[in-house]
Amino acid sequence: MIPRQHKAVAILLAFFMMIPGARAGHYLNEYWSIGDYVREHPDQNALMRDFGAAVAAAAVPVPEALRTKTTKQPVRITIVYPGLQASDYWRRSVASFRARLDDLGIAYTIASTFTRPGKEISKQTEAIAEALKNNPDYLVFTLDAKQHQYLIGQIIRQGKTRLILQNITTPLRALEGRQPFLYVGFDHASGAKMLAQEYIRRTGGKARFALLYGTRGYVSTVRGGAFLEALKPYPDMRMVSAYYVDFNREKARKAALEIIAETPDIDFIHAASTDIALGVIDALKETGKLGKIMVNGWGGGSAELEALRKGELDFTVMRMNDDNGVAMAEAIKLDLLGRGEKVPLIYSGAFRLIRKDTPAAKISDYMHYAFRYSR
Amino acid sequence: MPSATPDKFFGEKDFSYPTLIGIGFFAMAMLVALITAGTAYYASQTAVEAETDRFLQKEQQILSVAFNARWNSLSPVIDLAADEMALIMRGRHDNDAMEPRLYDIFDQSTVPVVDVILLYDAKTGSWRNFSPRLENLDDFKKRLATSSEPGNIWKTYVGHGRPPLTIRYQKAEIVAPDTGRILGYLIAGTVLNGNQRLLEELHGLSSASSLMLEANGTVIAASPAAPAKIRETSSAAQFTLPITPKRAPGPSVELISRFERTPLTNLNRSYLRILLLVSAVIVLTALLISLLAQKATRQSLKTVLEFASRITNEKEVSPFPPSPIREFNLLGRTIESTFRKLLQTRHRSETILEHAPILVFLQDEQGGMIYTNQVCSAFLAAADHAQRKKLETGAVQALQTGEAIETEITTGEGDDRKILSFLFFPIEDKTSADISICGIGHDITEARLSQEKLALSEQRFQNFAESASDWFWEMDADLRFSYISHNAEIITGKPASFFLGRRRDLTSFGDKNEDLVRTHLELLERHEPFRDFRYNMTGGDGSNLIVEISGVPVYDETGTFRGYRGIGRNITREAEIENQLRQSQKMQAIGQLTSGLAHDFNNLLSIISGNLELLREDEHLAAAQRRKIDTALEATIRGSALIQQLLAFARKQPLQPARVDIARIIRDIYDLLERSVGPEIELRLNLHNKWLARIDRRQMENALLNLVINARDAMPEGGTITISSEDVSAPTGQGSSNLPPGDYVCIAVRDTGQGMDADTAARAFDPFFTTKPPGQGSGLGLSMIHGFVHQSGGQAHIESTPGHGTVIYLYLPRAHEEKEEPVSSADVSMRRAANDG
Repeated sequence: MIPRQHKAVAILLAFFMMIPGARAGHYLNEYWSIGDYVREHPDQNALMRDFGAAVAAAAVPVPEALRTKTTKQPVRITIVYPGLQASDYWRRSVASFRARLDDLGIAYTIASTFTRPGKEISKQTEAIAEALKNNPDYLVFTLDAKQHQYLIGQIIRQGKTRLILQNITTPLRALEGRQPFLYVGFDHASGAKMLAQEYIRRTGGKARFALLYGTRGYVSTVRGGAFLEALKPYPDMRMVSAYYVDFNREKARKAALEIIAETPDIDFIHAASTDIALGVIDALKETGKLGKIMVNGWGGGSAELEALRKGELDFTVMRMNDDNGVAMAEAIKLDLLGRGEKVPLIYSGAFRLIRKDTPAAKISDYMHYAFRYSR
Repeated sequence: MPSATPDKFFGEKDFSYPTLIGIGFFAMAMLVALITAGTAYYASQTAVEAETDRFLQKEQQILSVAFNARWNSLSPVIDLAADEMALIMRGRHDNDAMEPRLYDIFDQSTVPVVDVILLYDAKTGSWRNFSPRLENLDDFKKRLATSSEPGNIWKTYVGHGRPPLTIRYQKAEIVAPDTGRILGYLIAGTVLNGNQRLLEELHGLSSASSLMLEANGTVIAASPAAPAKIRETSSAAQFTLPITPKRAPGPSVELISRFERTPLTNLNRSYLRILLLVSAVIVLTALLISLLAQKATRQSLKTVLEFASRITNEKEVSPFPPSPIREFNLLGRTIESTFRKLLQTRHRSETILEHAPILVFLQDEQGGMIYTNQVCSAFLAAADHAQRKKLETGAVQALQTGEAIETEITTGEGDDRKILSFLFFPIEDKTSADISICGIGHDITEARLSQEKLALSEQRFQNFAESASDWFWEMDADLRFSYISHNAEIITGKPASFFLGRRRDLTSFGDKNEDLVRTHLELLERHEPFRDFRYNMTGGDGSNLIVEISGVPVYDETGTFRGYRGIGRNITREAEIENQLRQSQKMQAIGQLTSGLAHDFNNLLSIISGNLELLREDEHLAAAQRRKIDTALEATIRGSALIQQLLAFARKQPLQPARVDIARIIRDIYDLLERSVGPEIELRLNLHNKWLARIDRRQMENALLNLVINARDAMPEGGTITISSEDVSAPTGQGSSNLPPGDYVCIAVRDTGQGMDADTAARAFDPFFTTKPPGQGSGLGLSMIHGFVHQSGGQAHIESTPGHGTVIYLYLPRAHEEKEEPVSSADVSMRRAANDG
């Protein structure tokens, strides 16, 4: 049973995504921000609201006829994920996706491939091309770089396979008029802004900090860009250095050591992912700066919650993880029922800010909802 | 024959077919030519326009690709420059080395020329400008400093002036290769304002007549031939290529291209001329073909018509003369083949009719004979007036009613008698509406005789079956009753519908002996014959019947089993008589044995008791010895009483019969009987007899006391005992047995106890048979009553059903004298001691 307050939060989030003020800055040059997209396509308002409510609610199984139909001919789904990271977002995403499909009574087959993120774009492209040979009904993959744009266009034009882009909530402007079936994820910009607001609150808008990006590409562009954008009104928030550490814990540790050596009085190091945060914590422990220099997490997965519990991580934004898997399953359900037009183009799951002093009961409450299918 | 109605449209016009064909060909050719010309003209116009549009779009795409390719080709150069700068900055190389290195990398021969180069050092927060021609870039730098975009994407800066300074640039991060640290940014780009070199390059790659760059709606560069403002006209197409991202916020920069359309008039005129020429050729060719077709068709049609006319009047079919048109040849050969088959069919039919053993004739509406076969001709020649009249009547009836009429004609007498069956039916010719009557006759003498014999045989069987006391039955191969004679209903009380159509295993087996029934059904399944199979069945009135059936399997000529056929008998009466006889013989044998034994024991007991009494008279006996002799004497007295009971059963006891009123006896001992049964049991009397009976009153009282005590013992939980009496005349009888003819007074003692099953009831009168626990009964009570009643010339019967109590009937012979003889009532209470059965 999903707590009532979470349903309310999900619906509020859907409304939040429609607020014009939620527009992104120049870093989204090639992409629509959620706010801009909704302003340009007002019909999406109602779709997002209704769809968000369905995701937050308990599963409503499909009619018996559709259940029988999919039992005879299961829905074919292919997933290509950059999965080998400390963050368990992707693993939980698949688990919640499967569980929700089961609850809905939709029979399916899932072929999933996990590749490394960032540098293995070509490998992802190969995996996607290989998956398409089997003519899946739905293809789920993440847009790790703009280089995938051509492939996306090809898949959409082909029309046989419905495309779900995961971990991206900013539609590509170039695909206007022939967009994928669904963009689903947790809006990087929203998470980054929450982190920025927390740092501003903690430092009073005056601090020196370093920024550790992941790999050069979309995720770094949006997370880093949104973070810096949110700090612009505070000229005393000064970035002393920035690094690309490829979502690699060891590289993050080395970068953090260098930052600490150069500017020992730095106030915080902004980490753009779980692995980076863990690398920073390693460096802070080595230099005895743990507790003196703040570091954030990104996503609120198991590793980060453990670090918060130990007091090593100061705060993080926790994704209500299973919202994504559930949203994909609900979108497929509507599509199979012939009501694909009821699926909004974008679905973004909710975030919660968790500090290391957040009561365990509250974290447990968040976790109960976030991992309602993937625990 | 009805006259054909003229066509509503054509009336009675008589067109020449070949002429019509010729005109049709010509008209069709004209139509095709016109459609071809029109379609070709329209298609050519559309194709030319579409081709033009496609060409222009392709040109636009080329322009777009060329424009982007120019910039994209610069991206790796900028990345390379950023990497070089990273090495210089990381290795603390001399900063002065940066400028020559950058000029080396950004060769001035590239298009577009990189004329804006800026470097931002993140560590110091300072800018270096490597663009000597551009001094005032502060606004640009400010924009770059506040930009949070880290990606390597081409962007466009538009300043505030008019025309605004517009720079196409890329911001590359200078990232330390070892640590990933962002050391700074390298900004490389081109000023688009007045950039003729770029426009010329693009102009050379496309067919655009002129090109123009606009920033925020203001022209910042234009090719020499470009008008002041490019606008879409009928003779020129205009395309806009957005340089800044489409629909993105912020300033917009666009590349506008103009393409001149090719005049189409001359092209259209040429097309039209060719089309007219082609159309004219088609029309002339069609005219020629239609003339030839008209000539060929007329000749061929004439050949076909002449052939068809000739062939209908000939008895032999001549071959069709060939025509120059294939379809007419086919038609002619089809007519030829059809007529040939028609003649063959007629010949065969006539041959068959002539040799068939039936009479066939055909006559017209007026009665004129059209056709008779040989047999019919012979019959008509020999027919008398009455027979002819009958034939005539049948034919007229068929004509009048329009239906088939049957009639029979008998010829000859005795053994020469023949019966002919005739069928008359009208035949209507659909083409001429003429009606003729066909008559077909055949000899049915043999069939009629067979029918009569069969009916006689069936009547005979029916009579036998109904007059017999048994019933007859038949079953089909599935063992379902297919026939059962009427007697079955009379005898068994079940209607024929109960049996017919039902399987044997579902009909009338009322027998509880499942083994017996199963064995019989298995025998039926094996198709074996059976004789005198006896079983119980429940009659229509619910009574139990004992029947005996016999049957034999029936096979057809191929040896296939077709069912059973047999008879059934009701032997209930015979079976009951058999049963009674068996019981009677048994009781008689037991009685003789008991009588002999009782007499011998009585003699022995007399000797023992006599000697014991002699011993007892000895005065010297000790008291202890005397008590032992007394005990022995008491035993001999009890033994003597037992022997009296045995003798009573064996009907050898001395009786003192007298005329008595049974009802009075019962009332006299009512108090004694009531005391005997105790308070839990209600004792009722229902006495209606008028007649007197001749019996031993004392024995009668004993018997009643015995019966009431037996009934009491059968109801340990309490109940009701009813003693009733009535007059009965045999053969009416009651119970399950029949009495010898005569008048009786019947006493019935009925209890509401547990009752007993059939086996127990059958043995109830046997001596020493008891259902009581050991020591509580000798089993002589009922046998003594049985002996007493029989010795008195009556009968005793028992009726009992488990759960529904027991009734004992005593039939005592009527004493015809009217007055009752006085007999002293004995002290029955003394005799009660003797009752224990």
